Amino acid sequence: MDSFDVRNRIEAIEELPTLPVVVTQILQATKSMATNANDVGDLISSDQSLTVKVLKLVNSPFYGFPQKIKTITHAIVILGFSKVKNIVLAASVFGMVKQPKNSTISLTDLWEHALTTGIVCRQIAKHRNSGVDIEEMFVAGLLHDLGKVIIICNLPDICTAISENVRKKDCLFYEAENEILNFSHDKVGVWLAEKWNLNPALIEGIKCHHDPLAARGDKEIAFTVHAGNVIARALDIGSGGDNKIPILNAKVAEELGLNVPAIDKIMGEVLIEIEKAKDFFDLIHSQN
Amino acid sequence: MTNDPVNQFEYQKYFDKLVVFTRSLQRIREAKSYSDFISEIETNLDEITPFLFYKFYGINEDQKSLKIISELGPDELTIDLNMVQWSLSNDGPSLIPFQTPIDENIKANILIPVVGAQPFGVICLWVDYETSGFNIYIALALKMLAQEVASSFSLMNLTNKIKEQRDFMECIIASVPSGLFATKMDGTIVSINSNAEILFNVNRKEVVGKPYMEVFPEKIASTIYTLRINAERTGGVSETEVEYEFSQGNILYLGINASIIYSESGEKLGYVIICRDLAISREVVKLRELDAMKNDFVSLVSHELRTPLSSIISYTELLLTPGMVDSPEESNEFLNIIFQEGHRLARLINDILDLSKSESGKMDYIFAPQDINSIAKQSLRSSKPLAEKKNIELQEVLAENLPEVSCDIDRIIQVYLNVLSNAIKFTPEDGLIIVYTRLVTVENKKFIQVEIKDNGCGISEKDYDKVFNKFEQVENVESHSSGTGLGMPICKNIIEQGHGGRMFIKSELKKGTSMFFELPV
Repeated sequence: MDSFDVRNRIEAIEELPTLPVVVTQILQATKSMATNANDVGDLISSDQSLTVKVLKLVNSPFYGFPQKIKTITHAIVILGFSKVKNIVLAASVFGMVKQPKNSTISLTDLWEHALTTGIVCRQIAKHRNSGVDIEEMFVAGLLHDLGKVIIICNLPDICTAISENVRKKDCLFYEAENEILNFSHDKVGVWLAEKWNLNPALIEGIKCHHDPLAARGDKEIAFTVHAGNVIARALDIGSGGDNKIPILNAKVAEELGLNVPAIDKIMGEVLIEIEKAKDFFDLIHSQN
Repeated sequence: MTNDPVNQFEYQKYFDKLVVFTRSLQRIREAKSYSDFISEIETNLDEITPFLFYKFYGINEDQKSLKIISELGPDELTIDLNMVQWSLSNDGPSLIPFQTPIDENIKANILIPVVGAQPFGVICLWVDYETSGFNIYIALALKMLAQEVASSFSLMNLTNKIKEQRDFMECIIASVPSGLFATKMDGTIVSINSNAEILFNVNRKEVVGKPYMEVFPEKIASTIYTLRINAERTGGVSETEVEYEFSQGNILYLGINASIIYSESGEKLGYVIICRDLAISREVVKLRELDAMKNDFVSLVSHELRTPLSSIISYTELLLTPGMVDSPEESNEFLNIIFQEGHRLARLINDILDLSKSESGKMDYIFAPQDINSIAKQSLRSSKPLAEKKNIELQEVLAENLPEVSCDIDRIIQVYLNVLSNAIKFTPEDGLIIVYTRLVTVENKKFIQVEIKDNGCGISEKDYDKVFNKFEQVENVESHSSGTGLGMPICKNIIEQGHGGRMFIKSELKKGTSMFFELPV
């Protein structure tokens, strides 16, 4: 099976996961500097269920605002455009596809892993204080395994074969994919992200999370997502389709200043953040 | 999206706006003073968004209390600490609905966290608009402003820390009780302490940045040059002493050392040169020597005093003890000994007093013109009985027509007698002592020189100094005498300090000694 073949198959999929129109509009709107809080607020408010989800999430302890946020526009001005945009994304992706019957991998587990990775990436970015938008890092972590979602939902036969391979060889999902497909979910994720018109930095994160040194554009995001994925797996929250912890690239660890005590500290903080992000996990469960 | 002409226009508009804004932000970083810095912040805020009031809260180190850094608004308008702490946990500005009876125009409050390596504080704006006034550009611009302020704060803290350290170093350098200065490898002065300024009569402001060769006195500069070369060669410290005329007639002995300043990586950065006034250390050495001499002197004096005293006491005891004296002759003999020892004691005490007087310059001299030859004759007469005891012949070879000299006759006789009695003491029986007088010229000055020459045991050259040291007696004398050991030092003092003359010795072992003294005419 070569990559073209699979790509053709993916391209041919009629029901490839799509973002709700309103989410695409919000992503578009937040690219313009003239956009004000009311513009975004109106967009979100046009989708009743999104509004409810977003209001629940903005009031979660994860964002820690000392008062209750009552309206979407307030949420936008209080938390900022970036956070709200990412909340919208998170609220939309969790429920965008349905778990196929007889699937070898649980989507709930995969989203839990994705969310944990997002939280770890955000925490690493907080420590780095390198000027990057920490909320962007959160989304990059959240979306890094987008390719796996497609494999699970749209290519169930291939997914089963890979899982079989993982079980037989006791290897990473990624390694098993490469053996069977000659490529892996990172590539599939990029195809989808490009289709969704996500920004290039996010795509770099998806593309290089298993091979961070190959990153050409935004190295910071690729490195952070790579490390975030490893640490999230080490925390053993959710599942990525295997029981192994990928190896943390030494150069990435060095670049990000992630020595053993730093990783230890971040893991401790992430556990607290996960506690605060309970509303997000609840959302995964209610959507799947 | 960039193909959309409206959007492209919009992009260009905001891009231009941001370029202008970035330039304006630069003024915060380049502010010359703290007040300029604060006013630049206010100006920039005003450019981003209109506001009613403004307060810049700094967070104290405990992270639990606030201080006002600057403000433009009524005192009663304040912000909740919880809000500040929450804002500091964000990485961008937030607009929060805010209503207050203080001013009904206030609709919202913008909190802008200022966070660098650590949280510095929160800039707080009270605005008259709600959500609609807040767009992505404003949020971005406020975030950029906060980053600029935070980095300026970090820079200020760093600068203060560096300044503190530099001040501390300068205090250390200034407190070094020596002249100290540092140069680059090319000899340009980079730092100089106040002691060095005083020492070389220079002004820091004028010499820093100049080569030391142009600034310091030639002698010092060339000394430092040699030291530098040596330090360079050895890689260590090079040291020397130099006489330096600090001011007219005021000569300092300087100990100068130069060492290379190395950076942490071993690179040569320059030299540090330290100049010490050695007078202080020399003075200390001299004082220590004097102290040791005083101790020796005291123990010697007490020893010398005790000897006659114990004779006196024991003979008196004998005389007082019934049945111990056999005959009147014997008691007479004892009394004689007591008498002589008493005299010796008196002589000793006189000598000590004389010496201390002459050394401290308190001896009184009565000067009058005198004929040295007649003093010589008088002294020889007085010494005759002593010489005859050892059958020593006393001769005189006196120059004729000698001018008179101004001197204290009693003191000069004292010198004659002392020298003669020494000569007699150290000359074996049947010896010969000759007294010469002559006129000599030393460095264009005329002196009458007296030489008292014996043919006794003589002393070696290395012991010459001992002759004039208190209580010292030359070891290899054949016949030990009962002298006080103070005679010669007293004589030397009388001649040299008292009369501005000179006293010295020439001798040869087994052949004899000549003692000279000269008095200026």
